Parts: sequence; structure tokens; C-alpha cells
Amino acid sequence: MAFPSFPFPPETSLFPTAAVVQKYLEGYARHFDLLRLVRLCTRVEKVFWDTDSREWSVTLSTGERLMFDFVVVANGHYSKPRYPHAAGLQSWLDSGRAMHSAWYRSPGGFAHHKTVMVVGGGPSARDICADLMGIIPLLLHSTPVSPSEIGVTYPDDTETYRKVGRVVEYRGGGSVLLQDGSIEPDIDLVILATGYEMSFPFFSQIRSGIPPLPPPLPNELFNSTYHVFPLALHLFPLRGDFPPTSIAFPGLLYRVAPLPLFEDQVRAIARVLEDPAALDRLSCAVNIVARVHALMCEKGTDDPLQIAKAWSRVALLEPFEYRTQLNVFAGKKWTASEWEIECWKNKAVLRREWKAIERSGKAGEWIKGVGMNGMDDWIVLSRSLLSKARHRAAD
Amino acid sequence: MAEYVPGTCYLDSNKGLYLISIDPFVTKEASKRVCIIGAGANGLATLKILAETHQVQSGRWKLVAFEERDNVGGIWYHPQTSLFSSPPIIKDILN
Repeated sequence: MAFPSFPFPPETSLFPTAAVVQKYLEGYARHFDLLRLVRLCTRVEKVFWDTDSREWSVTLSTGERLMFDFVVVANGHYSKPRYPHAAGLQSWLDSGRAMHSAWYRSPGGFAHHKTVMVVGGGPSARDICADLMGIIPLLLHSTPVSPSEIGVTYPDDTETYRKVGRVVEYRGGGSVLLQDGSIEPDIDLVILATGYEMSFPFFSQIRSGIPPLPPPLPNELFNSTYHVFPLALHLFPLRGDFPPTSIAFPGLLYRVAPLPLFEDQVRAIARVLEDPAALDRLSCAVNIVARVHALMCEKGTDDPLQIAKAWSRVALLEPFEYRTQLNVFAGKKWTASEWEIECWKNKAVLRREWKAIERSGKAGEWIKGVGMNGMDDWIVLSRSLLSKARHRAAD
Repeated sequence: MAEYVPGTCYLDSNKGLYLISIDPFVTKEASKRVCIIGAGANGLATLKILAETHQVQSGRWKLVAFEERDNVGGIWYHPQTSLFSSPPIIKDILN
């Protein structure tokens, strides 16, 4: 989870809270003296490739306009909420009976509700359900597809937690119509854990919409809100009014351990900065077409929207192959360590075990001294959690 | 030569010659101004790895990251907000 170049401080929780990660990132910035290179409270308003002078014009919220040779688009993709298209939802949002999970901070503020529905099947939905379970008299969890289809598991239904299907219509008086025709009445609040849209409000030289499936690659660079396409090495746009070696879009993949991946993506960016000719556009294009084809086979569809939705959600071990590929491109040798792959494959088990330890009040005991002797301590801890889980399963 | 694009080869049919152009983007490789949009985890990683290169240390590549908020951290930087108030990270929610 941590940047390989900067481990978490010893005794950090195995699954740290946002505040702990924030402190860690501030520490990273301080340790490597990065703050001198950051201009805070300065928003980028407009980024535009000037075809005449062949450089980027960047307009800031301060009114300044500066010229650059290379732009790294690192604005993230977890800030513009994605809302589902369902009849009647807008009036629920307007009246405050529905909210996006972007606003969710902690369960405390919700305890007075009798019935809460969480919408969504991703990590946010699962986290919020875990938070609210037992606090709310009735917690409904609306999942878009059956859990087995996307390879995740949800808690079993209980008296206070029940999974329901997709919502078709939000009606007056707090009732919702579900896909199977049934109605859930008296819902006090809906939390929409329905994800975020990729969004680059400062950048107009990108087309909004779903790109047609290659071959051939589309003639323009697309933002489908689910992915940016086509990007060589998931970084460099092969289409657009600007050279692919003048701009990069790192950090857009889902289902990855982000921090280690980020550093490797920058190594590829540094390579392109050093030698733009190093980027073999043809072989990158071939790889993109091959991945589209593989996804079409895997999903059994040639619907461009379904491929757009699937594009950035990498397969379980794909992040390791991708990091190897980035390092090869940057002229570095790297292979994932055995324990890293083992922990990644078992991250759901690790999380469950760790949360159980936290609930039992023994987290302090387990984490005592861990990290004092470097990375090996974390490996030992992870392995003993996994063995604990295996023993329990065997009993 | 209306369609002249730097960095490519051309057959000039009038002169019967190949002309190979030099991409000005490549030739000014010596100095590069790099703009990083955002100082979350991704922007910070970009600064860290690039700052270690000999090109940045020798002053040939210049780096700057622009961050709209008053601190680094991105999605992990959450000042506590009250229920239903707008989180500060979202500017264009109603667009």
C-alpha cells in the first residue's frame, strides 16, 4: 500500500484511516522536500496545446498564464460524483432524502434514522454498510448485479441488514420501486455509493462520449467518464491535437494498490521526457487493440459502453504485470515479490481478520513493534493473519 | 508542403528527394518545463520521482505542481464537514 520508497511509520494499522494516510502523505512531501515545488491554493483553470508554438498554455486561478513542455494530469478521479439514472431520484436529492457517498464521513450522524438504503456494489458501499450495520434498525443494500457475477461477497442478510435489487424508481413518501417489481416503503435516507466520473474540467481538447471499439483506434482522445482512451501504457494519449509524449494521465486505474503503481508510472513518464522516441506508438496501439479484444471475449459483449466501464478495472494480477511493463520501459528491472502477490490476492481475508482484531480490542497488541525492523515485520504480521484465517476455516 | 509535419519523412515528388524533418519538440529536449496538476498522492509521487532525475537536479527540467486546496493529500485530505454541506473538493457537482 505504501510508496516503496517511504514505508509507513512502525505500528501503523494494517488498514489505516484516511487521517493516518494524510499524515503519511504530508510526511512523504516533507521527507523528500517536495513542498517547495507545490503552489497551494492555485487551481488550474485551463490547459491548452498551442499548435503554433508547440507548447502547453496553462491558465491559473491567479490569472497567470504560463507555458509548459509537458503536463502531468494528476487531478484524480474521486471528486465528481456519479449519480445513477433512476426516475424520481432528483427530487430525493433536492429534498435531502438522498445523498452521494462523497459526503459520507462517519456513521454517527445517521444514527437517528430508522431505515437507510445504501446503493452500490463497490468498496464504498461495502464500507458504509459495514459502518452502519447494527446502528440503523433496518439497513437495505441495493446492489446493481448479483454479487457472484462480479466476484465479491456481501454479508449475509440479518434482521437489520437486507440486500435488495436495483432501484427503478424513487417515489413520493420515501418508497422505492425495485427491479423485481417489489416496493420498499418508509426509507428515511438513501446513500448513493455509486462511484465517481473521470473529469478534466480544465481540458477541452478531449471528446466526451463513448469511443467506438478498435480497430482502428478512434481519431480523437475520448473521456467516457469511465476511462480515457486511447492511452499508451495507460498514460500517453495516442490521439489528440498534441504529441502523445507531451502529456500523461497517470492514476486512472481502479482495483490497484495506488501508491506503488504511481511511482512506477512516473518512471515511465521520466523516460518519455528524456527520450520521446522511446515510446513505440505502434506496439502500444497493438496492445490496446489486443486488450479491447480480450475484454470483449471475457465480458461476452461488443457494446462499447460495457468495454468503457470495464477498461480501467484491471484484473487481479494485472497491476503486477503492468508495473513490470512500466519498469522495463523505464529501463529498470522489477518483479513483484511473492509476499506482495500473496497479500494482494488475500486482501479481503486480511481486512476481515484485521477488523475482527480491532473489534476485539487487541489491535494494539498485534501491531506492537511492527515495522521497527523494516518491511519484514509487516510480512510476518500479514502471514500470521492469513494463517489465523486458515486455522479458523479448518475448525 | 502544406501538410508538413515535423518529425516525419516525406517524398518530395517534384525534387525526387526524401526530406527528413527534425521535430523541434525533440531538439529542445535539453530544457523542459513540467506542469503537474494536483498535489494528491499521484502529484506528490510525480514530484518525488522526477525530482530525483539528474535532469531536474542539474536544473534542465523545471517542475511545478498546482494544487487548488490549501494542503497536499488529495482525497485523503478531508477537513471534517458537516452532513449535507458541500465537500470542499467538489466544485462542479451541479454541472
